[in-house]
Amino acid sequence: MTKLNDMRRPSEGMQTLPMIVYLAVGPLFWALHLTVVYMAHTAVCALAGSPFAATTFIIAATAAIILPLVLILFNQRRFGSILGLDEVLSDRAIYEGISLFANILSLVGILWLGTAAVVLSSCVPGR
Amino acid sequence: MTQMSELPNKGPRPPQELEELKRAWKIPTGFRLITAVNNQVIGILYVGIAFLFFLLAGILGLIIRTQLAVPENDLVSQDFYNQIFTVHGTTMMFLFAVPVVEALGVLLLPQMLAARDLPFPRLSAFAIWAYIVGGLVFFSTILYDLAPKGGWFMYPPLTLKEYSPGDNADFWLLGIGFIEISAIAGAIEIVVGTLRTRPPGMSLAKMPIFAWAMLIFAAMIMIAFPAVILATMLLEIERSFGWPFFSAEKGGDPLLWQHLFWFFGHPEVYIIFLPAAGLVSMIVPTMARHPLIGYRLIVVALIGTGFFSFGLWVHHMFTTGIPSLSLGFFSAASMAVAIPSGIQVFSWIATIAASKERFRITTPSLFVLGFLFIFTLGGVTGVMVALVPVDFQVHDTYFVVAHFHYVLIGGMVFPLFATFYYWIPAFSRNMLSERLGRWVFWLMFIGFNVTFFPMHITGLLGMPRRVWTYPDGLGWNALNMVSTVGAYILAAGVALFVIDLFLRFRSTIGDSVDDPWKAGTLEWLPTGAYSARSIPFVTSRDPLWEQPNLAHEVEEGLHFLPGAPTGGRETIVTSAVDAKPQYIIRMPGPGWAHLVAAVFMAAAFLLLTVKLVTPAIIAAVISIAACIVWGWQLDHGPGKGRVDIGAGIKLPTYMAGPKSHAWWAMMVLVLVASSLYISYVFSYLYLWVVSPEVWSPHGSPPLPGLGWPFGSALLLIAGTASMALARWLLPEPGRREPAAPLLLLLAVICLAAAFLADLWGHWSTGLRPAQNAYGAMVYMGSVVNFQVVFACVVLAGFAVARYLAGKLDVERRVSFENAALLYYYAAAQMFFGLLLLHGFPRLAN
Repeated sequence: MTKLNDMRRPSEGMQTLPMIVYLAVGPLFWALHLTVVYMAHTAVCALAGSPFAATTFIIAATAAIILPLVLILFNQRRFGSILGLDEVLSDRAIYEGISLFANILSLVGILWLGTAAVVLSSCVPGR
Repeated sequence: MTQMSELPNKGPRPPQELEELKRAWKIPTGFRLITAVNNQVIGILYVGIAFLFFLLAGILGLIIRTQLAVPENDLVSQDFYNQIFTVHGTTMMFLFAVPVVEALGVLLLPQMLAARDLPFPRLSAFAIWAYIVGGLVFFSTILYDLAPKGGWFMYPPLTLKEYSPGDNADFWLLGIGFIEISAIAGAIEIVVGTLRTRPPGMSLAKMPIFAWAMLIFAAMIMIAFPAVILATMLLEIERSFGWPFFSAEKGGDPLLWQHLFWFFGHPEVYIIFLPAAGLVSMIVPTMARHPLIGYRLIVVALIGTGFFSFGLWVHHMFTTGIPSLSLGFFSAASMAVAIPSGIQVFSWIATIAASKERFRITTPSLFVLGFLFIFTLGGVTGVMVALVPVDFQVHDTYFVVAHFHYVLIGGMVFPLFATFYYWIPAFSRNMLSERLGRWVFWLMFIGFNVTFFPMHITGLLGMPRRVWTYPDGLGWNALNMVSTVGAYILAAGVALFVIDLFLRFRSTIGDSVDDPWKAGTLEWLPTGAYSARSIPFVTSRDPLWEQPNLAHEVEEGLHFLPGAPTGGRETIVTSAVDAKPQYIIRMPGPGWAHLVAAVFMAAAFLLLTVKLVTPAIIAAVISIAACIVWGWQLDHGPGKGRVDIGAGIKLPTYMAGPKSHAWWAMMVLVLVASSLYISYVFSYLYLWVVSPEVWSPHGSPPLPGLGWPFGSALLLIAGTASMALARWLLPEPGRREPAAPLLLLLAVICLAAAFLADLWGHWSTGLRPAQNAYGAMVYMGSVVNFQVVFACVVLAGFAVARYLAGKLDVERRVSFENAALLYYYAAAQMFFGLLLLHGFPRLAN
């Protein structure tokens, strides 16, 4: 429980940006993945016209984005420390839980989105 | 349940403390009430006006339904019908849904966070008055045949000058663009307020879910709204000056509008839904008398929804010919967003199931249960339309109309009515009637389902949306008649609510009903115009449940900041993550400047709409002057020293730099500006993908020589260095250092020169903005840059004036820090622009 005495100690440095990144790292990876695969698919199809290149790129990008996210997922606490989060931050376990579940949700989202490249043809007009 | 062994302050408190508080926070009376900035006063006004727009747009909805009750009806003309459905949708989305949740943020957040007010009270008031003036003028266009007719999403080419002559579309573009600026002002307030004015001890992990929801809501506004602001700028510029962003024959593309609009428009749905879900997350635990189950998962759901909602915009464009794999990406994302929404629904159901004793069935509970039923159905049809083949079938039919009304009315209006019944006791001498409330609920619930459920079938039978009338014999007659009857039942429910409101709502501050629901959160503390008597030390998520003596202790002044030690309005600023006290913010009281600024800014936009350019410029100048007067009164300086807030903590009463709330607000503004610029970069690259043939050097004059961009870049570097040096040379208090303001002026001269050099470089090649889409995008880059350059010039001039008045030095430097932060961003944006506009065509060539 937070103690009144804790309020007398000043905050340990800037924790806001590390905390935002810590809580939202999974969704940020998800957003990066969507941006990369959507833009790459559009650009490769428009410029190179190569469905094979487009599909390969999307699968590779999906794998490349999943890998660091999985690493973070299994090293939540260490990742927080790398970002500079205070080790004795009150409620740290709650933030770890939020970050963990957000990462899992994002991982599912990335895999689900990347699956489209396996089941659909690239560079084919929608209708 | 916890008992605190030590309290921040000892009692009894000296009686003059409370008197000081009352004097500092006194609400103006009589006609001066319009100058009030207390969140409780302007919050109620804000909610009231937003609700008025709901009623007005609802009346338009009834006219729509009456027109469609029978086939081949001609109750209203086709042209007027187009205006009605456009204003109905636009008003509901822009003038009701977003403003009302922002209004609830202004009204409820300071109370939930036990802050004395949000950190920028005049900014809130400015946003509200701008919205009121702009909104009322926009809505009134329906009365004199000037309303827009292009539907609430105003697709070009229908809305281009050729197909929509007259000023109707301009009212939408300038009016709504302006109201979005007001929404962004509110978002700045909410972000900084939520992160920096929480009570000591209320870490992020103890923050009420509504505050989380509002934080993410505001962040989404910061990212989503600039896209539509840019879109409205592009369309208005094309309509007024013929820059061909959307005209295919000159390399533009109408689909660019759809991308920009829906990049805003789809998150908009969640911008509306998330705060409503946050409100539900506050009501359910109270009615269940059980802490919210799955707090962490709900936070995850809010964050996840906030992100995922930005990956759905293309599902409004499934039928536009986008490659099937891209459709697959957005279809997958559209389905994935159901997961976080589902997490919230299950969390509420689990909390209801875990109720101590029986879940209390009150009017707010009924609206929550109605919301769960309707929103879930809307979510299911949402997953249906996320499937590309289904969307192909039902696109632009009444099925979609049914779907989004289930999502929006179910997901937002029902929680809003729950909110009214739940929180009105905190701001009124009387509760609303529980008996009438049940009538209101059942009329609305039955009326809603009778209206909108049949529309799924009418849609599947092929009835397109937005048709003025329809022929007999298509099998749509009975379903339309049922929908119309339902609409009147729904309206009867709303009318009954309005009657109850008139009969029983009596606005008050400090004399409201005392926590009728026995809730656990801080907005139910006893309050006055100064909010809570003392700012509580918070140790749990449901402080009134976990700290049973808290209300009494707070009222006795035994917690933090029990008086007004600086003699004015103030609250505690805490650290963003763990809510440790950092400094005292001194806040402005009532005033005219923000009001004048808002009214004249609205006037400037509206006069521009009807092409009265000179009066518009005069109004804009008055508005800017009022802003300067307003800003001049804000920076009090560190003269009051440190003050004791309790627990032996002495806090400074002034802060500049990255810890200060002003710096945070400017940072939020920079994020908004960067979001606008990213939308511009997307637009530039998008039009290049669509029409590379009009790009320089083949389809347009060759690029300016490299000397132009290099010269501009050097000016930007020199200006940035000059700004940094000026910061270093700021004088000690009471001393003079003329080099500092001179360097500041030199910095803005460099910035303006870099801007003009780049502009002239392109102009000198013979490139003109109306020539083709490439020319239009190049000069649009200058328009976007001009905004930040102009703001930098004003802020730097302001800082120089502060120096000349002896109000700027190395300690008292907020005005300088703000100017510098925006300057660094402006320089970075322009530098990136040079790379894009001069580098990309060379690379692509």
